[in-house]
Amino acid sequence: MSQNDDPVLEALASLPPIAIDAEWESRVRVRCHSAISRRSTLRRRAGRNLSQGVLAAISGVAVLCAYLAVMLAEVVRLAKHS
Amino acid sequence: MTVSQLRGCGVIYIVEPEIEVALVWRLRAGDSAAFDEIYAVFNQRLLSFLTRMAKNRSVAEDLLEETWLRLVSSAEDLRADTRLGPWLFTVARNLYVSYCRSRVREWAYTADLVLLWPGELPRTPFDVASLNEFEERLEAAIAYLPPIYREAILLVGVEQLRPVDAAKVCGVSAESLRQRLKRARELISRFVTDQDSFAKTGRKELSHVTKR
Repeated sequence: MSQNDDPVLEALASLPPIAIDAEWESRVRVRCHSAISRRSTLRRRAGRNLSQGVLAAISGVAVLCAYLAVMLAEVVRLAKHS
Repeated sequence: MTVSQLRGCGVIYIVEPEIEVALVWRLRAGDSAAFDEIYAVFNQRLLSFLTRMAKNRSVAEDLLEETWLRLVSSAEDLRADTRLGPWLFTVARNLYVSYCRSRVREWAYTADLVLLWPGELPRTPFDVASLNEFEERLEAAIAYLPPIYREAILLVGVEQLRPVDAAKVCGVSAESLRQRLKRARELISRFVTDQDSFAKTGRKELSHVTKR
């Protein structure tokens, strides 16, 4: 079934759209924009917090590795002396 | 950016699939300009759909505002291949259904609307001036339809969604939608042809559908 052979659908497709209130339209747009920027800010902040957390974790692991390396070297040195 | 089709006094915009994918990707990344493009393409169509469904402009505007806020809040969760048109119409339609359920509105009003029409659909002076007599009858016929037929004919006939997409929006099979469309077209044809006699016989005939 296509519109060409259906006068009802053809007439329906030609119905004019409902007029939009410009004030309402711009108010909704502004509201959505502020929601988008709020979400973007939250996401950026979450990303920054995440990267700071990752950095802290890497630093912690590095310090732990260094400590273990020193301990291991000390254990080897003591083992050689005894 | 879009393919447009002239229709009536306005233009209907159809987003090309590859542009739709790019728009979704940009919206997920929080691009306000992408939102503006989507808004420009669908706002008019969604408002027309909701106004004709709800027969009340302020209700339609509230529901549409909520639809756009849902899009913004769900943007990050959208799949890359999301079809924006069906997605938006589904949200708008579901919000309208929720509204009807919460107010128990459609049941109580449908029978009265037959008697109240055409004073029910609020129009701006521009709307009144732009409608000819045939379009008035067509609008009256759409408003007369039970909601399940009205949403089908509005989505496919007026808003030019593909029947398969409209079926998804309405949450029914393609075959069910096809039957609803067929029935809606018959009712509209009868109404437009002979509004007065249809108002007498059609009301009784449709009562079983509106009471579902």
